[in-house]
Amino acid sequence: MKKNFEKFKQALYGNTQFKVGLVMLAILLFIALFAGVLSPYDPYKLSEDLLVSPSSSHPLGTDNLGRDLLSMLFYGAKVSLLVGTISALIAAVIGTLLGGVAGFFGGKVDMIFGGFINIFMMMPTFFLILIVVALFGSGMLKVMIVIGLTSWVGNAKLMRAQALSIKERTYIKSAESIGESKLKILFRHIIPNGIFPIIANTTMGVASAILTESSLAFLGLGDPNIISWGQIIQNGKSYLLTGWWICVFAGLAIIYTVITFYLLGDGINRILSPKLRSR
Amino acid sequence: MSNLKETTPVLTCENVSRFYRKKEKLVKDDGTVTRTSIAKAVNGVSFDLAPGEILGVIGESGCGKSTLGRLIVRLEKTSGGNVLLQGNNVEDLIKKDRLGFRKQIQMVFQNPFDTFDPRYTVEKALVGTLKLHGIGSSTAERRDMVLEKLNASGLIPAKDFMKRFPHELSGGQLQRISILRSMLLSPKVLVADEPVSMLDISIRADIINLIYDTARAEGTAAVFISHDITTTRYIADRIAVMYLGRIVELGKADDIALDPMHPYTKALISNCSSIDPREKREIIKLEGEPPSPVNIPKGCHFAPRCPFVKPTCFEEEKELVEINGRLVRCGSAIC
Ligand SMILES: Nc1ncnc2c1ncn2[C@@H]1O[C@H](COP(=O)(O)OP(=O)(O)O)[C@@H](O)[C@H]1O
Ligand SMILES: [Mg+2]
Repeated sequence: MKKNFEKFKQALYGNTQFKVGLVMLAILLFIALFAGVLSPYDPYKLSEDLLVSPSSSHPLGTDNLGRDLLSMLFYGAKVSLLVGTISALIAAVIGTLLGGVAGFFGGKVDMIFGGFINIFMMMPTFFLILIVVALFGSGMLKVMIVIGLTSWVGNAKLMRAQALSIKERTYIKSAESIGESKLKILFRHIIPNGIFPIIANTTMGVASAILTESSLAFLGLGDPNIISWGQIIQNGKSYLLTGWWICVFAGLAIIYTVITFYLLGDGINRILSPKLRSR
Repeated sequence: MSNLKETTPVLTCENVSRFYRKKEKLVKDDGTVTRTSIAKAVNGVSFDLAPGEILGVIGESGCGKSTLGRLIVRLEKTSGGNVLLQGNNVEDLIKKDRLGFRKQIQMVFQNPFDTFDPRYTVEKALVGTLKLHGIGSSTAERRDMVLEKLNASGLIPAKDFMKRFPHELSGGQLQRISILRSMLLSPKVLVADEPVSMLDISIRADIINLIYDTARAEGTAAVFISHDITTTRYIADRIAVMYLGRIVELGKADDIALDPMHPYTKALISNCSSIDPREKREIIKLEGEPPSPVNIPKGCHFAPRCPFVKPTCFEEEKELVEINGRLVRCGSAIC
C-alpha cells in the first residue's frame, strides 16, 4: 500500500487530467474560502443599479435587484462546494457500508443488501428528491442529506465488487485464522484496501451533487435564504433577453465546477484501473 | 499407530467431507441450461494427530489438500463429518470462544506474498496479533516480545524489519514472519499448506527447518501439506497420501516412502528420484490427467489410471484396512 500509494501519487502527477483538475480545484477553493475578501460588493445588498451589463464597476453586471453578480457567484461557490462535498461524503459512507457488508458477508446477507441496492438503483432518484424536498422543506442541510441519501448506489456496487474479490485474498483468510472478528476484518482490511474506486467515484459524485442542487434551486426548491448558482439562474431566467449575463455566468460557474471534479475523479479512475491492480 | 502412546489425540478428523456445488452453464440447442454438479473436494477423511506429532499430507494438485487444511483450521465448515480438537468439536469451540479456539490452531499459507495486509507493517501485524489475544500487558512489552522472536529467527536487524511493509520483504522472509506469527500464539496444532512451494529452492530447506524446529521445540503438532514426498518424508512422522479427496494410504513416513503399498503411492514415489538414488526402480507412469472431483465414477477413484487395475476395481471401492501398522485402501498385498 505504501508503495502503491507512492506509485499512485506519482501516476497522479503524471496524469494531465488530474493536474488540470487540481489547479482548477485550487482556484475554486481559493474563491470559496476568501469569498468575503474577494467580492467587490456585499452579494446580499440591493442597489439602484438594476440589470447593469458587465462594466468596470460591476465586472459581471448586476441582477434584477441590483446585486453584484460577481460577488454572488463567489458566495455561491461556497454553497456549491459545501453541498457537493457533504452530499458526496454521505453517499460514500452509505455506499461503502452497504456494499461492503453485502459483498463480504455474502449469502443471505448479500441477497438482502444486494437486493436493496438493486431496487434502489431503479429508483427515479431526482423525482424522489423532489418529493422529499417538497414535503420536508428545502433548508440547505436537508438538501445535502437528501442528495446523499439518494446517490450512494454507485458506491455500493463498487464496494460490493471490491469486497467480493478482496475477501478471497489470503490476507483475509489469514486475518480470520489469526482470530480477528468479521467486523474487524471488514473495517480494517476489506474497506481500506478496496476504497480507491470509491474515492474516484465520490470525487465525481461531488460534481453530480452540485448539479442536483442547482437543478433543485432552478426549480425553486433550493434554500431560499442562501445564494446558490442554481438559484441565480432560476432568478435570471426571466431576464434572458435584458440581462443575459446573469444566466450565462452562473451557468459557466456550474460547468467549471462540474468539469473540475469530473477531471479529478476520472484522473484517479484512469490511474487506478490497469496499473495499480497488479501489485 | 500402535506404538504411539495412548494419549488423546490433539486433533481428530472423523469422516470429514467438503463438497462444493458448482453451477455449470451448458449451451444446448434449445437454450442454456444450468446444471449443478458437486465437486467432492474432501471425501470422508479420517485420521488422528497425536500431540507433538507431524503428519504429512501429500497428493497431486487438486486432490483436496488445501481444502482439508481449511477445514481443520475451521476457515470453512465441513459438509459432513467432524473435526475435533482435543476431543471437542471445533464448531462448538468456535461458537463458545472464537479467540480461544483460533489461538490453539494456526495456519501457514501457501502464498506468503499475500498473507499479510499490504497496508500493515510487520510490527502492526505481529504486535496486533499479540494484542488481539491479550498476550503481554503493554504495547512496549509486546514489541519486545516480537523483537526477540524476529531476532531469534534470523530477521536481523529486527528493529528494521518491524517497520517494513510486506512488499519490502522477500518470500522467504514473509514466510518466516508468517510462521513466527502463528507460533506467537503457542498453538496446539499448526497447519502448513505447501509453505515452500512459492519460494526459491535455495531457501526452502531453511523454512522447512524453521517449522520443524519450532514445532518440535514447542511440542506443537503439525499437519504439513505438500506435493513433494522428499521434504514430507524428512519432516513428518507419518504421511497420509490423498487421491481425489480420499486418503488412500496412511502410515509411518519411512514405510510410505520406502515401501509404498497403494498403486497410487507407488506411482508417486517412483516418479521421485531423490529418495534413494542408488536404488534402481522402475518408474510407473500415470496415464492421463488427474481427474476432477466432479462426477467421480463408481468404484475405486484411482482405477482409471491404475497400472494394476482389475475389472472388479470399477465395481466397488475398497475400504481402508490396516496392514502391518499402516492403513491402505488397496495394496499389491491384498490385490
Ligand atoms: N472454494 C471452492 N469452490 C469450488 N471448488 C473448490 C473450492 N476450493 C477448492 N475447490 C475444488 O476442490 C478441489 C480440491 O482443491 P484443493 O483443496 O485446492 O486441492 P489441492 O490443495 O490439493 O491442490 C479442486 O478440484 C478445486 O477445484
Ligand atoms: Mg493447494
